[in-house]
Amino acid sequence: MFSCCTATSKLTASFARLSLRQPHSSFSTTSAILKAKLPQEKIRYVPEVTELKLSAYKQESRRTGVIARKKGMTAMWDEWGARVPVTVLQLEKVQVISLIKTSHPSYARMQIGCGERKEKNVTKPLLGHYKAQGVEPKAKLFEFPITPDAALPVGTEITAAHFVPGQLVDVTAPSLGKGFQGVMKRWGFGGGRASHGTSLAHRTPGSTGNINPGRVYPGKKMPGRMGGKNVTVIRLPVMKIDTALNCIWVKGSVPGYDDQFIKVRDSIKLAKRSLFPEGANVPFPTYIPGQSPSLPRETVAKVGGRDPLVPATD
Amino acid sequence: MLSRWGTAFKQINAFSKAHGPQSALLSLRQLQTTRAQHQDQSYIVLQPQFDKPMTKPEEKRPNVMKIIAREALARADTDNRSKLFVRRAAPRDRMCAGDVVFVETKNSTSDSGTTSFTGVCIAIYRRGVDTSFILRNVVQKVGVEMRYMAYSPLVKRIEILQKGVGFRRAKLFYLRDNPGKTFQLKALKKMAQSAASTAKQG
Repeated sequence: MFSCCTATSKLTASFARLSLRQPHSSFSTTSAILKAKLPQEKIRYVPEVTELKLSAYKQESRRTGVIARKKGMTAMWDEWGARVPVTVLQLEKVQVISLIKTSHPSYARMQIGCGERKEKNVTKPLLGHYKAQGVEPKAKLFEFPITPDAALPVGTEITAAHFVPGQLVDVTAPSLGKGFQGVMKRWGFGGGRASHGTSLAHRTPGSTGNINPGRVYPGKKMPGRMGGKNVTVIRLPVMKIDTALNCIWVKGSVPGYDDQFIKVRDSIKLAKRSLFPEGANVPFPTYIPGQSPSLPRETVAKVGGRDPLVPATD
Repeated sequence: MLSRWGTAFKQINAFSKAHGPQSALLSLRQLQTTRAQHQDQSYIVLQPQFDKPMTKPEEKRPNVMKIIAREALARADTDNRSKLFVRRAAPRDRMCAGDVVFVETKNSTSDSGTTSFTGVCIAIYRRGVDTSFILRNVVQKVGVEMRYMAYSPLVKRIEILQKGVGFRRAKLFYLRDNPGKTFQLKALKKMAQSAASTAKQG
């Protein structure tokens, strides 16, 4: 009689009102059926964090990531005298904004904010969110999945010392937009011949299919807008940490333009590599200025291994 | 050991002129403590440490990359080789395209051996810490070009042996096809030998 395949809270409330109006006996069987088909109550979990305290880092733990701004690239020389190109990523007022409710207690999520934004430029819903959490409006918000033991209280500032020199990080950011690009640049197609009679087909895709099915498959690689999509570069070593400028220097290049917001997290795909260097003091859940051991302003990674400029004897 | 402290003192003095004597003393103390504390750590602490970022007093919102460039140059410029690459210096003080230059490089950080090369500078790329230059010479009838990163820790010494005369370009790539008398072996060989002998003495 009643279509209750999608029993939302509003529908159940209306049903409840209806059943109260009618005599109880005539609706007893249908209300039982309705109760049996009601969805379970949503149970949501949030890790309880009251104080900011250092704890032991375990292999299974996952710390929060960070939002940084790409400032540019320079070079440095490692302990063996080899030149290392580096990207400078600066942390600007990175704070924990909120702990997000998840559907299972074994995993948690944290919302991290970075930078600052004027109140007049923030929408009312977001402004309410910031005020409820007791933080200043931020320029960028991102979520990071964590293990519950890595949860931090709302408002905790995460600094560059959160990372350890020599550790591996994954860096995510939208790549530089390339605009509408042809098939050779966008998909790496070979194009046609440059000469020997080729007419008007030097950079074309060529054939787009077979006689059967006689149509072009959806998703066929064709010209279109290239770039501007999220790209993750994995396993970049952190070469240097600067606590005064709140910067981390990361080896290699990072997607996107300067001053862009970059998501930086501890590497996930390690494949028998070690995330942190041997003997490193991992700040878990993050670097806490009063409790963690004090660091000099600049700490540089020890590359280790063999001297690359000395030929191998074996 | 002493020389390393000496250069550190020089930089601290230069730094203190800009930032006041107090910070120089603090950084010196930092030097002493950090050397003791962090020798066996999993990271390296560079010497000298700049406790405060090197900002100019007129910079109200200093650019991070500028500060990094300044500090990197101050740290890498141990023997004042940056004077060779200053654009506004007199031609006799700076390196120009066309000069005969002698470079001595360490073979590696673990090996004490050095390699020297003399050649005519045909290009200079001024990029702050990434500054580099190309030297060209004809060695055993084979043209050889070597590109050196000026502030690399492996580059031990850069010396101008003879100033170039009559070169009117910044990049002398035309010398690859039209060398003229530029790479006459005898003169370069003599200069290289004298420079190498002074290196051994020094």
